[in-house]
Amino acid sequence: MKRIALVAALVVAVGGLGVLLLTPRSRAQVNLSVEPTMTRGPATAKVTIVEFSDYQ
Amino acid sequence: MKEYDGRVRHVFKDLPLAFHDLARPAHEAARCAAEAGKFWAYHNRLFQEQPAFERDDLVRYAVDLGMDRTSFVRCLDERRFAAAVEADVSQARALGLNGTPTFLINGRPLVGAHPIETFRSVIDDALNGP
Repeated sequence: MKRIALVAALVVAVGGLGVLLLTPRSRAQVNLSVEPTMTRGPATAKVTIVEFSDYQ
Repeated sequence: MKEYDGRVRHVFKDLPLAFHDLARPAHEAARCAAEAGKFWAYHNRLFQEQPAFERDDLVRYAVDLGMDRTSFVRCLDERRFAAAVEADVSQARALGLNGTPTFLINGRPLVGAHPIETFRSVIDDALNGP
């Protein structure tokens, strides 16, 4: 619950996307820029999938 | 993944790997396509044509999709989006990501190729979560 609230706050604050990376060993938080033309689906969606990919 | 339409937001981030020498121009080209309003079509074309990413190839895909050749070539040659691609790479580095593809599903990482069932399971957990 706390995590969702934090992410929502960051979205408002920076107009980008706050991502709290959760792994068994570590927590890292980075604000990601979001390019609207490279995004699909509603900004209000409950689930956001950020894909880091390489075309090659 | 049609069943998630409207419930999931998909954000694409560039992570050209350093040892893929043709990747970076392809990522920059895709952002030129984005500027022309054709990102997803161009993006899909790149994955289909992988790894034919010489300059002439990148221009041809844009023209095939109806983009203006002169504008596209100018965008590509002046490397208009080099800094934007580099910003994504820096953000990936800050998150400690180094493999592709990496998916962050509400912050939960899924690295590498996985069967579709794995994605469904993680997405469903996130949809059903708090």
